[in-house]
Amino acid sequence: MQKLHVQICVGTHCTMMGAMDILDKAEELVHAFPEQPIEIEMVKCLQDCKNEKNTAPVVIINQHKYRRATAQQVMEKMMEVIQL
Amino acid sequence: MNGNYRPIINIRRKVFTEIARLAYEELDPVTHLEESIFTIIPGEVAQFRESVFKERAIVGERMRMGLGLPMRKASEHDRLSKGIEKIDTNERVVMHPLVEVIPFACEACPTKGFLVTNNCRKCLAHPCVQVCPVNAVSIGKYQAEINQEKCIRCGRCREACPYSAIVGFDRPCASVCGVKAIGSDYLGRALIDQEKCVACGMCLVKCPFGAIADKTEIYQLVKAMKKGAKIYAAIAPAFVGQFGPLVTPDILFEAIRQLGMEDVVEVSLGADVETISEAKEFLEKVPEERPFLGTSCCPAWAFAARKNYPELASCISDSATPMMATARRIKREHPDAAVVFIGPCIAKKNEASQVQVRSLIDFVITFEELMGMFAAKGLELPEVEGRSRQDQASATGRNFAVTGGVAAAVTKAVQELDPSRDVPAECANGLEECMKLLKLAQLGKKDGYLLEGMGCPSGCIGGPGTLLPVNKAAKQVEEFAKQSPYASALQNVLALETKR
Repeated sequence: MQKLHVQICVGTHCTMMGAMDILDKAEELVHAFPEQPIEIEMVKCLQDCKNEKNTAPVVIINQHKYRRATAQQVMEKMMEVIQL
Repeated sequence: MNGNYRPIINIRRKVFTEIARLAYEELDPVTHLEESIFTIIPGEVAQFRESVFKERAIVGERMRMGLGLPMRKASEHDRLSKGIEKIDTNERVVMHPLVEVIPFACEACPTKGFLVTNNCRKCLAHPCVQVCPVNAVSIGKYQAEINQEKCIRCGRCREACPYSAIVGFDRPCASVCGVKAIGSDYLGRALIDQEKCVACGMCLVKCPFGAIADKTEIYQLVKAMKKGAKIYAAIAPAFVGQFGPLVTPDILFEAIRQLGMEDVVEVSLGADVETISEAKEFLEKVPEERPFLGTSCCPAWAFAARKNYPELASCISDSATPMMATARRIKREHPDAAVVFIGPCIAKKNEASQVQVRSLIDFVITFEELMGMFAAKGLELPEVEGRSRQDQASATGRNFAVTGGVAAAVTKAVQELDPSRDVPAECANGLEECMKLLKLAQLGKKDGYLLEGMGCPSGCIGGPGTLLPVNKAAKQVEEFAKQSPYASALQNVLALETKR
């Protein structure tokens, strides 16, 4: 079973653009798959938004960074690992 | 707030951010308005609608309303910036009507009705036909058919179908309107009856096309701070956790100060003041002088009562709302202060424009609008260093944000003042329930009761200006309430010294 590490930026822009919805949906998957090793981490601003406009929300799943992430996209990427 | 409506929420919040940016960066709104629209809707490929020009036109009206301006009519020629000089000020501008449908953003959804889908098996028994009291259902060539002219929208056919082949639908805006204020214009688009509307904001949150918007005071508030006004923030009890999981109350209060405000006061303190006065009112007047006592804190509930049951208006407590009590305390301590109420609520904007409240409350903004201000100012909330903060409110005052919390607070206070007194209480959750409860009260079925009305489902934490999903917000509010050193309003020394 592959370990799943989800880092969700909860800085100002990311929170405004939906980080808490992503967090909510990611946590639902943690409850739905209790045997799966999933770590959800809330992180401070990753500075992406300082260099480029419209990057929020930013999520990192197993070292892979997703900009303008959506809850649907994060769930899908998580499920890809969970179903391995 | 509904997280599944992301694209709509994000446009709304980008509008708030742009408006705050115009004010913070002291840009001329006349010349920068169009640029702001381009910032929000960039490129030439439409993302949501048939064309990028229409998307920009809608955002243009949203920007106008965000600045406090009235919407333009699509049928009349007006500049986008028309009237902007009147709202380019550091004071509240006249707001009515507060919540409006942007007509050309509305897709004119069909009104309430029932429809046979292709799940219909054209079965032999056809119970849909059998149960129809007006003979509106017949069996067509391929499936059952409903004659929409005869149909009385009772829904019996849907209940009877063993294949779930009949669906009922309604306009999302109309289905959540507890005061039935949504009708149609001549093109079938939603139109709000402003006589009935109480500005609860539920239609605005529920419209899947993002066609409904409200006016804001962000621009004028920032301008006032820029001019050096001493602004105190009165923050509603639902604030806990709204600005991200790493943003504690200490951090949030400091961040608000860094926006340019003097200080922050918990409105839960005003809730304690209201609790004590409503408890006394209940003990003194119910049921002898007044058949029941309705709580006063929710403006949507209070407006709905006043508009629809004027004869019951005297039974809604005349104690100051928590917002007013908090503002009065701030202005007594700091006579030169201006007060901004920051909450989850749109209806509070209406409450604040009433004659008796106008002198106390200078501005009203929502949590979402405040978040736009943080973003515009470039304040990275989790990086802000919080200062320790004095607890200003009791646990019961902090629980005002959740349905049942107000009645629980008042009940507790009544029983502390008079342990022999029983308090039958009932809570209405959402405006539709509020209207039902008022009806029962009018019929005399709630005599002797304490009635709590909450215009938003789940209470203030379910308000239209929130950022956090309701289930999480409830836990956060509960946690923060537990941290209070005062178990009830009557133990809160600050509330006891604050007169109404």
